Amino acid sequence: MTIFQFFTQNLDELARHRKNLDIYEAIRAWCLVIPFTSNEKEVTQEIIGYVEQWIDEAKKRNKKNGLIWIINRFLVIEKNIMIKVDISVKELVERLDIVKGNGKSYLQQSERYQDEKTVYYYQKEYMMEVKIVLLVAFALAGAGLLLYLLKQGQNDRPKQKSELDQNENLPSTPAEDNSAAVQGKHILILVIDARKETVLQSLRENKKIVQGESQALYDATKALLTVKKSHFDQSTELTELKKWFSKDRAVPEAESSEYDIYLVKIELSQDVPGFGINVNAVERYNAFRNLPELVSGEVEISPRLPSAAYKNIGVYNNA
Amino acid sequence: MVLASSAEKKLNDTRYYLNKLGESIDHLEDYFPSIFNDSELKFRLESFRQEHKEALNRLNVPTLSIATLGTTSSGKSTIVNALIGRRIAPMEAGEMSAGVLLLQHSLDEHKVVVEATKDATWETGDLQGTGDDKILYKHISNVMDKYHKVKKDCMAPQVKVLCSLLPASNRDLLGLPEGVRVELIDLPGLKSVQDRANLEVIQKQVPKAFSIVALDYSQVDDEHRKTLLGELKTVVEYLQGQADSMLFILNRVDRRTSNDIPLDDRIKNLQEEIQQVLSLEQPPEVLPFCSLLLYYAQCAWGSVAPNNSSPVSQAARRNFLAAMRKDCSNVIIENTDKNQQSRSLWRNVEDLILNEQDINDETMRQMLDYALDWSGGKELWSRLYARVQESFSELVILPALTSVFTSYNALAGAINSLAEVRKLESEAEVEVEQTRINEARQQLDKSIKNLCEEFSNETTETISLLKTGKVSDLSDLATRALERGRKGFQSLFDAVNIVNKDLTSKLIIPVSDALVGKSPVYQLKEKLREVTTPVLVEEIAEAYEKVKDELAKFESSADEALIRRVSEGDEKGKKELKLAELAVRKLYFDMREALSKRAELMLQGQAQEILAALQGLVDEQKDELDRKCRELLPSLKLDEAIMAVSMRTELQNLPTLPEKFFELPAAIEERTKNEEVITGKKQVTESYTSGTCNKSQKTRTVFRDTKENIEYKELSLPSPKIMALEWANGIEQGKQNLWDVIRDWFVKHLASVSEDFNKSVSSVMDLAERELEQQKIIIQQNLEEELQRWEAIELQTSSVAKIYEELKKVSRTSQEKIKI
Repeated sequence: MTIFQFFTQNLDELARHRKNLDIYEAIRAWCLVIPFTSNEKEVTQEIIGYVEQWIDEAKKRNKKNGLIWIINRFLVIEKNIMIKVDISVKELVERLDIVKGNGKSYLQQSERYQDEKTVYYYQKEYMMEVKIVLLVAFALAGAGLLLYLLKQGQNDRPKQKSELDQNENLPSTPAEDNSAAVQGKHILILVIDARKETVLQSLRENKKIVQGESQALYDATKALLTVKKSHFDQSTELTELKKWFSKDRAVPEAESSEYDIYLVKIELSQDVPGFGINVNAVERYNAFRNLPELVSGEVEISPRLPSAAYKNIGVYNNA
Repeated sequence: MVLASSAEKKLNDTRYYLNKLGESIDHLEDYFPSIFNDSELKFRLESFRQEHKEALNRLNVPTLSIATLGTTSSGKSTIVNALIGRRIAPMEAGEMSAGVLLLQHSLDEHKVVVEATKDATWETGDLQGTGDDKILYKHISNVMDKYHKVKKDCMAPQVKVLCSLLPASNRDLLGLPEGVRVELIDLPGLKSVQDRANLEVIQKQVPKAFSIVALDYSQVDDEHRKTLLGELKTVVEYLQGQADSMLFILNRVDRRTSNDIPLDDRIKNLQEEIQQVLSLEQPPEVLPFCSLLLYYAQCAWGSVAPNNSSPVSQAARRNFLAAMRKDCSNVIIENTDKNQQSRSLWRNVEDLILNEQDINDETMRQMLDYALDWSGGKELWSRLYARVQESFSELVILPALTSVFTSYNALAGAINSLAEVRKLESEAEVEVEQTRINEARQQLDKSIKNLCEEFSNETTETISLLKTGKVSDLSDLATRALERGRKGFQSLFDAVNIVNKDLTSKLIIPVSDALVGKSPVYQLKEKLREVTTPVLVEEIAEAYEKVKDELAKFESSADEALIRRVSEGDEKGKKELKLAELAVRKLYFDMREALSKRAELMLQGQAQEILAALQGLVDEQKDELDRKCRELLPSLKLDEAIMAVSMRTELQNLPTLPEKFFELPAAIEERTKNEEVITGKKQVTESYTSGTCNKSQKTRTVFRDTKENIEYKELSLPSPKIMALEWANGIEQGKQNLWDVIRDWFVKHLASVSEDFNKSVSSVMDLAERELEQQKIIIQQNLEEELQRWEAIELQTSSVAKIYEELKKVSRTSQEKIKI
C-alpha cells in the first residue's frame, strides 16, 4: 500500500466518526493512526499541546501566518474534491455508503430520488465538514508533531533522529521535517547604538532576550537585517558582516565615540515579516515585542565597532 | 565654622578684583579721555561699565540655587520641607506637585506669590502668611489642586514663597558667606509634565542650580529598579542636569524590612547602575535618607540654627513630634535600641508629648541632633557643604561674570587695535594698511557669505540624507562627524527616529492594543497618563470608549475593515452609523493632538543635545571665520578685535511645531448599495411530471423565497489594527516635516551667526579706517608726542589686563577638592 492509499484509507475511516468534527478530537485521531514507539498517549497529548500553543499564538498575533495559510489551502483542496464528486454520481453514492457505513444506500431506490437529493445534500454537508476538519487536523497534527520532534531534537537530537528513522510509516519523514525546520530559520542582525549599550547587558548574561526587554532593544536598534539562515551561512555577500563579529575589529578604547555601534546576531525560528525592510512602525514594534518567543538559538554580540561597520552590510533603517 | 569657607574667600577675592578692574578702566578714561573720542570706543566703554555694574550688583547679593528633582513619588516635597525646616511644599499623597515651587530666603517677608500665568484658573498674586506657615501651605495646596482640576491644558502654576530658610539662617550648614542668598527650587515630577511649554520652564531652572535627585527606596527592589533607572535617565536628560555634580538621595530607607538585602549592598548596586545608566565616569554618591523623620524633627525646631532659640510654639512642636512618634516608630526603635542615652531622651520626650507638657529647647536640640543622625540628615548636610564649596564658582560666581568678561574683551580688543594704528609712523605705512583693510573687507565679506552658504548647504545636505534614512548614508555621516571631531551629532541624527519610536510605542500601540483587547478604559488611562497631558488622557479615553462600543456593532470584512449596513429606510440605524463614524473621527482627531504634543515634548526633551550639535556647528563656523580673519588681517591686531567682539550668538530654543503637524486620514467609507435579498417565503403551486413509463402531469404546493431589491447604507470603518497602521503612516509622513523644521532652525541660526560676525567685522574695520585717517593728521602734526602718550596708555592697559587675568583666576574653581 502506498503512503497515499494509507492516508486516504485513514481519512475515510476517521470521517465516519462524528466526534471528529471537533478539531482536537480529529488531531487526537490522527495521532492514534501514527504508530509511535514510545508512550503514545503522552506523545499525543504533547502534540495537541503544541497545536494549541500554535493556534493561540496565531490568534494573539492576529496576522496571516502559516496556520491561516494551511487552513485556507485545505479549504480550496476540499472544494476541488467536492467539484469532482459532483461530476461522478457513482462516486458520490460510494462516498455516502462509506459515510453511512451500513452498506445499504437510499439512492438505490430511484423513485425517491427527490427526497434522496435532500438527504444527499445533508450528508454531503456533513461529510464536507468532517473532512475539512480532518484535513486541517492532519496539517495541525503534522505541525504539532514537527514541533514535538524539534523539541525532542533539542533535548536529545542524535538519539531521537535514529529512532525516528526507523518509523517508516510516518506521514513525512523526520529527516524532511528537520530540514524544513532549518529552512524556516532566519538570522536577525541588529545594529545597536553604543550609547544604549546597557540593553546588551542582559543579553550578555542570559544569551537570550528576556520578556520585557524587547522595548529597550527596539529603542536601541538603529538598523537591522533579516535573512534566511542558510543564506547567512553560505552567502559570500555577507562575509563582510560576519567579519565584524571578530574581536580584532573592535574599536580601540581610546578611540571610542558616540558614533560607535554593536552588532547583535539572533537566530529566529521563522521568518518574521515585521523585521523586513520598509515595514510600518507598528508592525516593526510588534515584531520586536514578539522577539523573545521567536529566538531559537544563542544570541551573539560583536565587540564595540566604529560607525563604518554598518556601511556596507546590507542593513536597513529601524525607523 | 570659625574659619572662612573657601566659598567666602573666593567671593571676596572676586569682588575685590572686579572692583579693581572697574577702577582701572576708570583711571584709563580719567588720564586718557581722548582714547574714547571715537563713538565705537565710547560705546564699548559704556557697555563694559553697564555689565560691570550689573556684575557687582549680582555679586553683592549672589544666589545659590538648589533644585530638587526626583522620580515619581520619591518624597521630594518632604525632603524640601526637611531641608528648609518648615512645612511649605505640599506633601499630601495625590497632590503631586505640578508646577515649579521656588522658595527664597527672606527674614522680613513671609508670603507666597503666584505668578499670573496664561489661563490660570487659580488665585494669582501675593498672599501674606503673617507668620503662619499653615496659611501659605493651604494656599499653595489649593493652587496645585485647582491646576489638577483644570479641563484645559495650560501652564502649571509658578509659585514663589518668601520666608526664612534653614540653610540661609544657619550659614554653617553650607558654609555660605554672608550675603549669599539661598533659594530652593522644588521641581515637579516628570510624569506630571507632559507638554513642551511646561518642560521648557523647568529646563531653565536646572542648569543654574545644584541638583539633589531623590529616589524612593521601595522602587529599588529587583522588580521596580529597571523602571526607576529608566525614569531617572529621562529626568536627568530632559532636565538637562549635570549628572556628574548631582547628589542622589535614596529616600525612605526606613521602609526597609528585615528580609531586605543589606542597605550597603543595595546602595553599592544602585551606584553602579546609576553610573552605567547615566554614563558617569565615577559611581555617584547615593545617600540613604529618611526625610520624614528629619522633616518632623526639623519643623519641631524651626528654620534657625541650633544655637539660637527656637521660633516654634510648644503646641506645634508637640504636634510634629507626636506625628514623628507615630509615623517613624521603626526607625526610632531601631536607633534607640542601640543607645541608652537616646532611649532615655526619647522616653522623656514621649512622656512630654503624651502629657501635653512643654518640651524645652535644650531637649529639642538633643532630639534634633539624634534625628539628624538617624535620618541621614547629618551626612546629607555634610555632603552638601562639600559640594557647594567645590562648585561655588560655577553655581554662584561665574554666571555673574560672563557678560563682564565678554564686554571687557571687546573693549580691550578695540583699544589694542587703536594702539597699533598709533604706532604707524609714515603716511605710506598708513596707506598700506588702508589698502589692506579695504581689500580685506571685500574678501571677508565674500568669505562670510561663502562660509555661511557652505554650512547651510552642508546642513541641508545632511538633513536630506537623514530624511531618506539610508543606512549607508547614516554611517557616512557618523564617520564624517567623528573625523571632524564633532560632538553630539549622533543625537541629531537620531532625533526624529527617537520621536517616531516613542510615538509608536507609547501612544499608538497602547490605544490599538486596548481596542483589540477591548480593555477597560481605566487601564488605557493609566498608560496614557505617563505620556500625555491630563486633558488629552480624558479626551482619548472618552473617544476610545465610544469607538469600542461602536465597533462591537460592526462585522469584519475580507479586507480587515469593519462593516455595518442598515437599510436606507432605517433612520435609527443610519443615525447610529453616523455616530459610529463620528466616534472614529474623534479618536483620530484626539490621537493627532496627542501625537503632536508628544512629538513637541520629545523634541524639547532632546533640546539640550540638539542644541549642543548646533552649537558645535556654530563654533566650527566661527572658527573658520576667525581663521579667515587672521589670514586677511594680520596687522593692527584687527583680527583679535573682531574675534573679541563677535560674541557668541545666543541660541534660541527649538521652534514649536505648526498646527496639524501630523495628518491622520481615516479609512472611513460610506457606500449605498442595492441588493436583492430574500425577505420571506411564499406558497406557490407548481406542476410536474411523474412516472417513468407512464408519464403524467401533476401539481403540488411548494414554498418559494420572496425577493426584494433593498437599498442599503454601508459604513466601512478601520479595524483597530488598521487604525494603528494609519496612525503610524501619519507620523511617518510627519517625520519628513520634522526634519524640515530642524533644518530650517539650524540654517536660521547659522545665518544669524554670520550676520553677527559681519557686524563685528564692520564695526572694527570702520573704527580702523577712521583712526587711520586720524593717524595721517597725527603724523603731520604731533607724532612724537602721540607716540609717548601711547606708551603710557599701553602701560596702563597692560596693568588692566593683569587685573582681568587675576579676576579670571580667582573666580574659577580651584582644582583641589575641598575635604571636610
